[in-house]
Amino acid sequence: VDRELVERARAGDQEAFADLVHQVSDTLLGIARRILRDPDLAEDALQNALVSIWRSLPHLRDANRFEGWAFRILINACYAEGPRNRRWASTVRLLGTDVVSSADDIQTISDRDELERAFRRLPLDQRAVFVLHHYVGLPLVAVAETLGIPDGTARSRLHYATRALRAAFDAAQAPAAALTTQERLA
Amino acid sequence: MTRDRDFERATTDWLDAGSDSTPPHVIDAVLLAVRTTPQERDLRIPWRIPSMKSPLFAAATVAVILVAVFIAIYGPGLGGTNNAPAAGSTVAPSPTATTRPTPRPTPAPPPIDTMGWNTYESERYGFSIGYPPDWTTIPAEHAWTWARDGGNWLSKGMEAFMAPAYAVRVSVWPIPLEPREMIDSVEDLQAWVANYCDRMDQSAACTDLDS
Repeated sequence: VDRELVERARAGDQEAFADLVHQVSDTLLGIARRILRDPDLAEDALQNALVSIWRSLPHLRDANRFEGWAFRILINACYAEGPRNRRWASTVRLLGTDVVSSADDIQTISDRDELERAFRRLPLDQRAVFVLHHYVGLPLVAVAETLGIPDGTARSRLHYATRALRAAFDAAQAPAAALTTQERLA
Repeated sequence: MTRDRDFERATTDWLDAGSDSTPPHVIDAVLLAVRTTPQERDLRIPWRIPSMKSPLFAAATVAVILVAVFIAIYGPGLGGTNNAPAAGSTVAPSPTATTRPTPRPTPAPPPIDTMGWNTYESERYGFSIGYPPDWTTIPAEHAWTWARDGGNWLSKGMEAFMAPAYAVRVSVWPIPLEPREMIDSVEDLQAWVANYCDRMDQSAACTDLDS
């Protein structure tokens, strides 16, 4: 992120903020989509987060820390959007029409489907830690700092999230393993 | 080990799937909102209501400040360290008092010096508020909603500030307006506060509310 843009936006320059939005919006949307697992909710969270960032920018002390600070505001926006999803939203999934030819492809789809279901069952705070660590690539200490939580809490949330996803992944693998054994016996 | 690698590869592929290109209408909406949304000044000021004119905030919110004097609720046992009689407490008359002092007009309290105050930034609700340095902040743990928090003046959906010895609590939280409900004047605000207190079903707690 361009530090000069952050400084100018912090001083109230709307054009600089527009440039800043273009620089960071894809990253922020990617995080929101992966946490919320719903494109519409993610866009709402992104909009709210960006306006909140604009309003709060004068309070940002160090322009070099803009990214982590913005992540934190986005995550809070995701937390605010999440409950709407649980209450009212229904999920419509579009299935591709491409013909799947190989067993590997089928297994890949099955893996992703199980991971998706397991991830949606996780609390939002565990999802946030998992996404910041595995998708954004932040070390666990940086994740904790970004979210304003103790290191141990971040580690614990990551542990529970990983355990749940691993269990789902293993469950998806089991039928395939059984099929392979049957094929060998035949 | 293979299973571990398979799991890592599967989660990486699953996380990386999909496009992250921000739709233009999202950016347009943000930039439109920014045009009408003032930035918060980085000053130590008591408190402010964020602008509600942004089209993003179709479900507009109003920030309400409630000051609850706990000493009046729980009695003088929590009265802190000063010796002044607490608000709401009673003082027994002295049996030796034989003269009645001439009533004098109460002097106006000195202006509050907020220069040494800290600033609390609520990322959850998007406001900043000044508070004395010896007060304790209690961040909200969830977003305030009527269903969950209506009627609870000590809800954990409120950003709260506690004076030493828990003598005073100041709570701040946003309340959604009804569709097409507008607050354009002090009268509107007073009417809204009265209606809000009725909905909270604890009208007594709204006594002396100053809008």
